[in-house]
Amino acid sequence: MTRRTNTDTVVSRIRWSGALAAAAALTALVAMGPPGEARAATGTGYDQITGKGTTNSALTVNWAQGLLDNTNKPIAAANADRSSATPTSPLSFMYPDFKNLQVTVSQTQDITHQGITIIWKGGIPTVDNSGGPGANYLQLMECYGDASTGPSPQGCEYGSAGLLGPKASNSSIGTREGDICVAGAQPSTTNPPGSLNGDGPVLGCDPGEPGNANPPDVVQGDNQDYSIPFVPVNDPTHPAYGNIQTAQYFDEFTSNEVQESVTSADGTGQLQFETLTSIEAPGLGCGDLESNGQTRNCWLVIVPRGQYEPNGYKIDPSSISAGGLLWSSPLSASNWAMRIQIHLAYAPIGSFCPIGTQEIQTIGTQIVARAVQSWQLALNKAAKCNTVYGYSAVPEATSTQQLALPGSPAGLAFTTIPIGSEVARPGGSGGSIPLPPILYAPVAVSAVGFGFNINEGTGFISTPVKLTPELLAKGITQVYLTDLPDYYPNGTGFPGPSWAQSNPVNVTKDPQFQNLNPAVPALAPLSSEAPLLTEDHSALNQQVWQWIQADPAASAWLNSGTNSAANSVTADPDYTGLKLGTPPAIDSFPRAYSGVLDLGQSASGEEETRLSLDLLPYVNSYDQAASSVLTANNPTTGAWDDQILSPSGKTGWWDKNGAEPLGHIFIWGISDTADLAAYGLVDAQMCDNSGANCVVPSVASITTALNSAKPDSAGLLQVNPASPGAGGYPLVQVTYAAVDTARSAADLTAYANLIAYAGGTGQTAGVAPGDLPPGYLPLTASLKAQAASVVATLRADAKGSTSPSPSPAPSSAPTGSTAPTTTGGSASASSGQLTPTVSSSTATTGLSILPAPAQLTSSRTARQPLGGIRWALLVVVMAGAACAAGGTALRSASVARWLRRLRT
Amino acid sequence: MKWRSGMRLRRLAAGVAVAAATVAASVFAAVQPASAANYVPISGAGSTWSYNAINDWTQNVAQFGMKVNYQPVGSTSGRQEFANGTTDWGASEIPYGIHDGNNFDPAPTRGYAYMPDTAGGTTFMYNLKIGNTRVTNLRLSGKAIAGIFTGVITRWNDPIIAADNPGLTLPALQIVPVVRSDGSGATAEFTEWILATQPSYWNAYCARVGRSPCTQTSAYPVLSGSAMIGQAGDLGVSGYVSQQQADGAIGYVEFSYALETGFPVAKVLNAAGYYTQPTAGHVAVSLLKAQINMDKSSALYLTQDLSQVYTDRDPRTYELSSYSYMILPTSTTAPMTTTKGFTLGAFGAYLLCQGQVPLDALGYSSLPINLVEAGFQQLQKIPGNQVPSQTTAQIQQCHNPTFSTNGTNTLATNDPMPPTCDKQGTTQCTTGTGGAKTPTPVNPSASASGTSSTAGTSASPGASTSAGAGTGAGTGTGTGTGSLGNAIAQGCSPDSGNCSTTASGQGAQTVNAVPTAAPASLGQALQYALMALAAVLVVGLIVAPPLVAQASRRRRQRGASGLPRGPGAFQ
Repeated sequence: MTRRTNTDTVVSRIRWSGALAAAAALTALVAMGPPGEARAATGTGYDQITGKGTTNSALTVNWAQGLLDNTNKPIAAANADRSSATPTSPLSFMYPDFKNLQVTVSQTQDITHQGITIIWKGGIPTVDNSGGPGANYLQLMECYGDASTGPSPQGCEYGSAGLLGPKASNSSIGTREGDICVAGAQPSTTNPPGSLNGDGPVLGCDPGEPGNANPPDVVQGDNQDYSIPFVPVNDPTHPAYGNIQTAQYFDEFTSNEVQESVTSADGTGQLQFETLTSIEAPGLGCGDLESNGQTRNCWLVIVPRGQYEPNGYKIDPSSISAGGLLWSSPLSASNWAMRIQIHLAYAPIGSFCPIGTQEIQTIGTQIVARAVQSWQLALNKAAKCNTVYGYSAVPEATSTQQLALPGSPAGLAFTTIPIGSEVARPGGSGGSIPLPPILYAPVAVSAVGFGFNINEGTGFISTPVKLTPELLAKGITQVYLTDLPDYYPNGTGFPGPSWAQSNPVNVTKDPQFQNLNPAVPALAPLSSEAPLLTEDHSALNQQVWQWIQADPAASAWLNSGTNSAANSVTADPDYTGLKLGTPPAIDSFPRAYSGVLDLGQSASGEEETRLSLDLLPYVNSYDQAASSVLTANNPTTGAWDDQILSPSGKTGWWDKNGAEPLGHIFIWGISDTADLAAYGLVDAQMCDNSGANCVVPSVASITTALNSAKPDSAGLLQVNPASPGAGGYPLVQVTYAAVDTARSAADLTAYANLIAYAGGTGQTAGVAPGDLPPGYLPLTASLKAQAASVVATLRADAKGSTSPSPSPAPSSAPTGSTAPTTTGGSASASSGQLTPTVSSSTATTGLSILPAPAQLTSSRTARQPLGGIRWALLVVVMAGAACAAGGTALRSASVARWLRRLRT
Repeated sequence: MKWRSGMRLRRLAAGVAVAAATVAASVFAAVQPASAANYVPISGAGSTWSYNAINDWTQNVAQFGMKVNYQPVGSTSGRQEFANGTTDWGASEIPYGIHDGNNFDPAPTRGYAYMPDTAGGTTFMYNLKIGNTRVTNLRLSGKAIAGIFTGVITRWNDPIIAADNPGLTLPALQIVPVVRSDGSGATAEFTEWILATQPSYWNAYCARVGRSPCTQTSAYPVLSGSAMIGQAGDLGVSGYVSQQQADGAIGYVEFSYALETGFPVAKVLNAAGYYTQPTAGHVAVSLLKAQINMDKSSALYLTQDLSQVYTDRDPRTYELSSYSYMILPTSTTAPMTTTKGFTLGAFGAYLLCQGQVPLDALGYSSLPINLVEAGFQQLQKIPGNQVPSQTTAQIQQCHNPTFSTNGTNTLATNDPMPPTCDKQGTTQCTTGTGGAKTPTPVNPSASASGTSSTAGTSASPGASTSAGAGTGAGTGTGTGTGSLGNAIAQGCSPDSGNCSTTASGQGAQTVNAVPTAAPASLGQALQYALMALAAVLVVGLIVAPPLVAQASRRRRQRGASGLPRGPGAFQ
C-alpha cells in the first residue's frame, strides 16, 4: 500500500465540504491510515544530515534471486536458471561474473525525488582501461512498468549522450543501440559471431536482437543495428529511437542513469542514486496517478556487466584497442537478461499551485534554499494558493539593502548573521545602512562542508576524506603544482615557479594527505585537483577561514609560508602576503597567484595565455559546486588544443576538461550539508592538525556544535569554529528569518505564516514536500519556541496592536503544538490545519538537545522607545523654519526699517 | 487561483476508493478550471550576463512543479547549442547573424523567435586604491573607457581620467583592462557602444589587433603585449577584478556581479553631462530610447537598436543599458515537443510578469509593458503553448513592477534625477557605487558642498523604489505609530542624504556630515547621540544661513567687502 504524505491528507480535507465531503474524507483517512506515521526516510542507519543510510524499507538482494516482482519477492521461474547449479541458458557463460553479487538499496518505499544509497559486494573488480573501465561494472537506471513481473527495456530512462565525458572511447555502452549478429548466430565463448554489418566480434553484437518487441527494436529500414526505443509513458504512441529523439524526454542534464559504476578491488561498491518522479522524468511518470487510481510505482534496474559481450567475446584487459572494452548496450536483450530489478514504491506526487500568483518575496543566504523550496510547497497548499512565496538567493549585502528600503519587494531575509553586520567584515563593502526594526526567527540548522567524488581506478572512495586545517589551507591557496597556471608539463620549459618546485603536483601526493587517507590513490592527475570554490563574499566562507586560523600551525604556515618537518609544502608567496592566518578572517576565497602561462601566439594568431582563474574558475553557488562534483564535471581548463576553434573563429584554443572519465576522477568542492546530501557526495572529515579528532557532519556532531553556540550581539546563535565542543562539527550555521517589522499587515501576516510553518511542522525531517530535507537538523525545542514567539509578535503587529516591546520567548509549548490562527482578512488557511499530529519528538528522533545556552528572547534589534527626544527634531525644525523665515524677513527693506526704528 | 485539477484528481484518488474520487471530481468540477497538461523538464543555455536573473526564475518555478535547467555557457555558445538542437531554448544578448568581423553567426534551421527577458546595465567594475583607500566613486567618460579598452590609456593618472574625476588624485598605476575571453553578448554590446560613440578609438584598435573588417564583436581582441586580460564569463571577469592583488583592474560585467563581490562600478558620462550608474530606474529610463524592431515579419523582430540610448539627453541615462533575450523555438524540431512548449510558454509568461519583481534586488531592471506585451505574442509562437493571447485583463494580473495605470513605466517615472555633484564639472560625489557602499573622500576643491544632492540614487540599485524622504519623515511625525528614530532609520539615509531631498536641499549636506549610521544593534545610546547631533546640525544649517547672510550684508553695508567670504553653500 502506498501512503500519502501528511500534507496531502490535510489538503484533501480542507477542500472537502458538506456532508458528502466529510464522509468521503473519512474514507480517505481510513484508506490512508493514521496521519503522522513515521516517514520512510527514517531508520536506525539513516542520518538526516547526510541523507544516507538504510531505512526501514531497505532491501538486500542476491543476483541469483535478483528478478523481483512488484512486491519485491523473487520471481521463482525467472530466477530458476541463474540460480541453478546446471544452468541451461545459452548465456550462462556470463553467470559466473555475477553469481556472488549482492546489492543493498537503502529505501524502496515512499520514494520521492531524492537520493537512495546503493551498496554492493561480491562483484568482480572493475578492469580499468585506457578511456574508461573495460569490464566488470554496474549500469543503473530507473524504469516504469506496471506488470508485476517487471519493466521492459523500452520503459527505461537510459542512453543520454555526453555522460561518459568527451574522452571516453566506449561511449556505445551509454546508448540504446548496437550491432545485430549474423543471421542464426549463437553466442560462443570460443567462436563469437560477428555482426550483420561486418563488424568483428569485439564490438559485441547481440544474438538476442532484434526480438519481437513492439514497437520493434529496430529503426525502420535498418536491419543491421538494433535500437531499443524509449516508449514514454505519457506519450506511448511516439516511441523515441536514438539519443536525438530520446532527448525530447531526457538528456544528460536531466537523466539519472548511471552508465558505469565501478567495483573496487575488494568486490564492493557504493553510489547514491537519484530517484526521479514524473516532475523530473515525465516519460517515466513515477509517482503519477495511473488509470486504476493507484500511484504509479517504478523500478530500479541494475545491469551488471562482466567480462563477456552477449556474443561470447571475452574482454582482453591488456588490449587498449576495441577488444579491451565492452561495447554493447545494457538494454540489448542478452545484457538485459542479466539484470537485477527492484520495485520502488513511490509517494504520490504533491500537488502544485498554478503559476502566476503574485508572490510574497523572500531573499537571503543560499544555505537555506533547499529547505525553503520544500516549505514553499506546503505553504502554498496551506494557503490554497492564495499566498505564494518567492525566494531569491542573494548576497548578504543585498539582504541588508532590501530590508533597509521600505518599498523593496522583500521584507524577509534568511541570514546567518545580523542584517547589516557584513559591511564591517574584512572584504566587506564598508559603510552602513540604517535599518528598520528587525525580528529574527530561527528556521534552519545546517553546515558548510566539503564534498568529494574520488574514483581513481581502484573504485569509488565512499569513506569520508580527512582534512586538517593545514591540508585545507593548502588546498585553497594554490600551492600544488597543478594549481598553478604556469606549470605546464604538456609543453617544454614551463615548470612553474621556483618556490613550488619541491611541492607535490596535487593534494593526493601530499604526504600529509596520504597519511590521513591511505585509501585514496596518489595518481598523476589529468588536471588540477583543487577544490571548487565560490566567488561570493559571505559569513559562510569566513567561517571556513576561522576554522583554519584556529590552528596555530596552519595560521603560521599561511602567514610565513615556510615548510616544516610535518608540512613539507612551501606556501605560495602571493598568498602569504595576504596574511590569511591572522584574524579577522576574510569572507571569500582569493585566487591570488599572479603567475601567468604565456606560450606566445598560436599559428592562427591567438594568444596562448592562461591565468589562475582560467585554470581554476569559480563556480556560482554551493549547489553548483556540489552538482559539478557529483558529475565530475571539472570546470578547469586543460591543454592548448590546436584543433578546436577559438571564440573568434580561429583554430586553436584551450581545451575544456569537462566530465572526468571514470577511473580518473578526483574532484571536490565547498558546499553545504543540504546540497551535499542532495547529491549524495562523500563528506570531508574535519580533523585537528595531528589528524585526530576527525568530525564528519552528522546529526550527532551538528547537535554537539549547536549546543556550544553562543548568541552574538543581535542574539543570533553562532558556532565558534575554534571550539564547537568535543565531537562538534565546526562549520555549523543557524539560519534566521529576519523580518522587517515595519512592513504592511498583510506582509507581516504572510511572513508570520511562513515562519510558523518553517519553525514548526517544517522541521519534520523527511523527503516529502514540506518536510525538512536531508542536510538540516531539526530545530531544538527552544529554537522552535523562539520562532513561535516571533510569529506571535508579527501577528500581533499585523493586527494593528502596537505592542512595542519584544515579547520574551514563551517558556511553554513549542510551535508544533501552538495552533496559529490567521487574521480574518487573510487569505491564508490556518497553519494549524496543516500541522499533522507529529510530535516534535518524532521529528527529532534520536536527538537530545539541550536548550541553547542563553534562553533567547526573540531578538528585535531596534524599536526602543525614544521618549521625549522624539520631539527634539520637530521642535528644532520648527525653530529652524522660524529662523529661516526670519532670515528672509531681515532682507526685506520694510522689516529692516522697522528694526532700525526699534534700535533707535 | 485554483489548483490544477489534474493534480487534484491524482491526489484525491491516491489510496481512495475510485468511487469517492469520482464523486469528488464531480463536486469540484464546477469550481475548478479545466486542467492544463503537466509540465515537463526544459533545458536552456547561454548568457552569463543574465544568469543571475534566469537562475532566480528556474529556482522559483520549482514550487509549481516545473523543472527548468539552465547552463551559463555564454551567449555565443548558447546560440550555437540552440541551433544544434542540444537545448530547448537559449539566452543571448544579441541575435543571430550579426556581422562579426569575418565571422558569420548563422541562424538556426529550426524555427526561432526572440523574447526579451530582462534589462540591465553592463558595468565597469574596478579595483582601485588611492593609498590604502578603495576608490568607490570613479567616473569615466566614453572617451576614457574607449581609451582604456583599446590600449590608448594605460595609467590611472591619465589626464582624460583625471578630467572625469576632479575630486580624485589617481595614482600612476597601470590599468589592467579585463575583457571576456569567451564568445559573449556583453562583449558585443560593449564593442557596439564603443564603435558607435568612439569610432576613432575602435577603428584604430582594429588596425592594431588586425581585425578587418572592423565591426563590433563577440570575441574581444586582446592587444598583444598589453596589460589586457581575458577571462571567461561574467564570473571570470568579476572574479579577476575582485582579487586583492588586481589593483588597477577594470572589467565589464552585468551589475549583479558587482553586487555579488561587493565592488564598485564606474559611473559613466551620458549625453546630458551626468555620470550615472545602472540602477534599475536609470536602466528603465535609458531603455525608453531603445528602438525595438517591431516588424513582425523580420527575423530580428523585437531585437534592439540602442543607438539612441547612447545619445539620450535625459540626465538619468546609463548609456550601456540593454535588454537580454531568450531564444524560443517555434517548431517541434527535436528536442522540442508540444509538451515542452506548454512548459516553456508558462515559464516565459512567469518571467515576464512575477519574475520581474526580484530583478531590482538582483541587479537588473524590469521589462516595461510594451516588451511584456510583445513577449506574450512571441510566446504564442511556441508549439504547444497555452499562453493566453495578450489581453488587458492578463496584463492587469501581471504583477510586473514597471506597470502603471497610465501606460508609463513606473520604474522610469519614479526614477530620481542624479545628484548635482555627479554633473560633469568641478565637483564629484563621494557616495559609493555598485556593491561598495563606503564613500570615498574627494579633494576639497571638488567637494560637493553647496550643491543640492539627490544622492539616494547612487546609494543602491533599488533606490528608485524607495519611498524617499517625504515618506520617511511623514511616517515619523505624522502617524505617530513608530518612533521618530524608526522613521529616520527607514526613510533617511545618512550617507546618501535621501531624507532631506524634499525638505531642504541643504539639509542633505547636513546629514552627509555624519559619515556612518549606527548599525541597528548598537543600541539606544548612539541613536540618541545621532539624534542630538542631527538636531544640532539642522539648527546650524537652518539658523546659520540667515545669520551669516545678515552678517555679510552688514559687512557689505559697511563697505568692508563686496564679496561673500564663506563657501557658496551659504549664499
